[in-house]
Amino acid sequence: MDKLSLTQQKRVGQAASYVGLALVVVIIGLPMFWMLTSSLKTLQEIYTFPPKWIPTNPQWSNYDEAWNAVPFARFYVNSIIITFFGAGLQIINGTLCAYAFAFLKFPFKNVLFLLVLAALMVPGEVVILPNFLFFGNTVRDWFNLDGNWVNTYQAIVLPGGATAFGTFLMRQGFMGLPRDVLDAAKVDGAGHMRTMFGIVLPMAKPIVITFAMIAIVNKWNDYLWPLIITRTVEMRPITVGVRLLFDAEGNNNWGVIMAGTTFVVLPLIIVYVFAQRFIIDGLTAGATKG
Amino acid sequence: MNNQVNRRTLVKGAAGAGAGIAAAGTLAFGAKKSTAFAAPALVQGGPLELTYWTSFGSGVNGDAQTAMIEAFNSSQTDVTVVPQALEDYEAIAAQLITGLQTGDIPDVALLSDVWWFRFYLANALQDLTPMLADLETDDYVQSLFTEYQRNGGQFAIPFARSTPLFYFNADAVEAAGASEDVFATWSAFREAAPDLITGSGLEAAFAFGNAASYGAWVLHGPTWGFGGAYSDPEFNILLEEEGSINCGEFMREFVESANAIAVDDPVTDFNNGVSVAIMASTGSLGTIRDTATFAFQTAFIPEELEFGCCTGGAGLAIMAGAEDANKEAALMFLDFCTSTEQTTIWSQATGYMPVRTSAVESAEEQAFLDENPNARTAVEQLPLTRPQDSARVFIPNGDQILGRGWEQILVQNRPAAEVWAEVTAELEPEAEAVLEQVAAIEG
Repeated sequence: MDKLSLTQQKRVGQAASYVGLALVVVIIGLPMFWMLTSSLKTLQEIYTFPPKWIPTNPQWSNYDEAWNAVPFARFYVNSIIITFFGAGLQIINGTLCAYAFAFLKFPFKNVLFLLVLAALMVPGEVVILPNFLFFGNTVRDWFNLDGNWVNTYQAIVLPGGATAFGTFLMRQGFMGLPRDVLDAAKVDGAGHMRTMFGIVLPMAKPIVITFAMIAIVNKWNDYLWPLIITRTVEMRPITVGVRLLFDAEGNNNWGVIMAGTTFVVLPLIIVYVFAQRFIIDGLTAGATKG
Repeated sequence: MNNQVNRRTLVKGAAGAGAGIAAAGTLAFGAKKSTAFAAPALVQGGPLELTYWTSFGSGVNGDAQTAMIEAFNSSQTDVTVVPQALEDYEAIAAQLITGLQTGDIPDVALLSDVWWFRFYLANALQDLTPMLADLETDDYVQSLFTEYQRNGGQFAIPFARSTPLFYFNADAVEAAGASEDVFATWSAFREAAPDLITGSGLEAAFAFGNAASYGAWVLHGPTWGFGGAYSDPEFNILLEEEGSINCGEFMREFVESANAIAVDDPVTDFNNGVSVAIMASTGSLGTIRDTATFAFQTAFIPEELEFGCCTGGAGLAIMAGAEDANKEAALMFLDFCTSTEQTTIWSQATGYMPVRTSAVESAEEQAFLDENPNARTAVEQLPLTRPQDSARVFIPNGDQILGRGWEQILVQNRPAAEVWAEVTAELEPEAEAVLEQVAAIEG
């Protein structure tokens, strides 16, 4: 049997990786591509088989129709508010907790950390009912309010304010920072706030931004909890709002529905394009640690 | 650097504060809600606002609903109805179930044939009997009106009522050189199906829907037509009777032969020229009329051994938990929506049946029905309908359980006897639970 030379082996290996990469791009990219092209097609073009890959007559009016069929402007406002405050809360809480677990000594530290890890294992669906009853009944009774907090921004944002995943992720990131810099800072008399904002956060920027991206994407795409806690069209975020488009269009006009879905995805893509440099840094930060 | 506030003091302070909050919390738990002076319902200087949850928010039916609400609001200045449009009957029910837990309920809700009983059992619906003295209840189509009567009380008023209709593509039938006589019985239809397909060039002769598009409802009549039933009034499940199994097997073979297909939404596929015929609510008549690009006709549900057809649709109910002043205003709204004039406008726009006899028999309506024979079918079919079986309307989720059973038969091609045995096993415990609840309320 002929043994391949080293260069040939390398080429085969490269070819195999390219094939693998192409396969992954197709699997992930094809639905996105289909969504984008379908949003520009007429209904007949969508329904034809074999499928038409490039629309010959781009129907930009689909976007217009989608925007007017349901109040997308309102949905965008709601989603931005929820994402800003929700992700913001998560980032603040996660960073502060991670700092504490990474650098401070306090009683019951290990027990508390185990609790945080245990929270990671609780599925989100389990807490939906208790949360709903809390904002529906308990809040009103505790604070003697006239109404309850169902269908309010605070009810959408607060349950997701604590993040076990973020705490864990950033704790690992902080613990990977070089100790000598931190010791030097301590010797120089820096307090915890100074250390955190001046040294830890700048050095751990990739991992913090990675987590920020995850938090933003999760909050933007959050569907089940906003669906249950919001009751009126004015309060619904864009993920729930797109569902209204299905009914407005009568399950009929897929081009318009795809245009509506593009509205949901577009802001995230833009944010991701800006942040991807940091994410790649964050993911590979530990890899080349000497 | 004698900083009093260092980490140790902070930790101690936090522990102390935590204990303090816990103590305050337990005190708050014990404290009673202050008996705040409740604001009067009728705010001086402004109309009373009623919340109304409806599933008619968009399309032809949505426009008609919006027009009706605006007509009511502008016809008087005491009451303003604020509608909240939800996706479908199930979404209204789901939001009502959660809302009943926290007090977020509307004043009026649109409840379908399978949901009103569930809320009746939960004592969530206002008994309208004492308030009905002011309305002309004799004028309501009695079979639709008495459906919401239970234990001597009246718990809803018919509003958007329908029967399933057999819709067929008249152009396609003509192209195939067939006559509409083939739709008289299921056997004749199935036999003619291959010719219909080749003659018209459409994909299928018939399209069945899934559970979510109320497949179990449209197939209720045919099940009776084959001599079977879903259940009897005593909640005995009759799916394993010969007639029910025959119906299931017949439909299964229809799909298996590829002359019929099982789809998500038959109305969409019918409008797109995929299927020669479908069964759908008469409430879809307005939508089909506006969307279809071909001539279509409606007909009675095909019979087999006998004719079988049910009613469906939704009624308006007032929530028992609403304020008293709101309930009176809500009755005004119900009266308006089901008045002769409004039910005529509503039925002509949407295809739902007029709920008042005077509306059906008026000269204006008769003229309309002469011009639009498709709308006449439901009205003529109504006297031949039977009340729905308890399994579908009185057992919670009975409709979806039966619908999923039909999906197993039509899509998974499983023998009807097998599937109906499983569905019976699923329905029987639920039936027991309902019987207990009914006994608790009605004695």
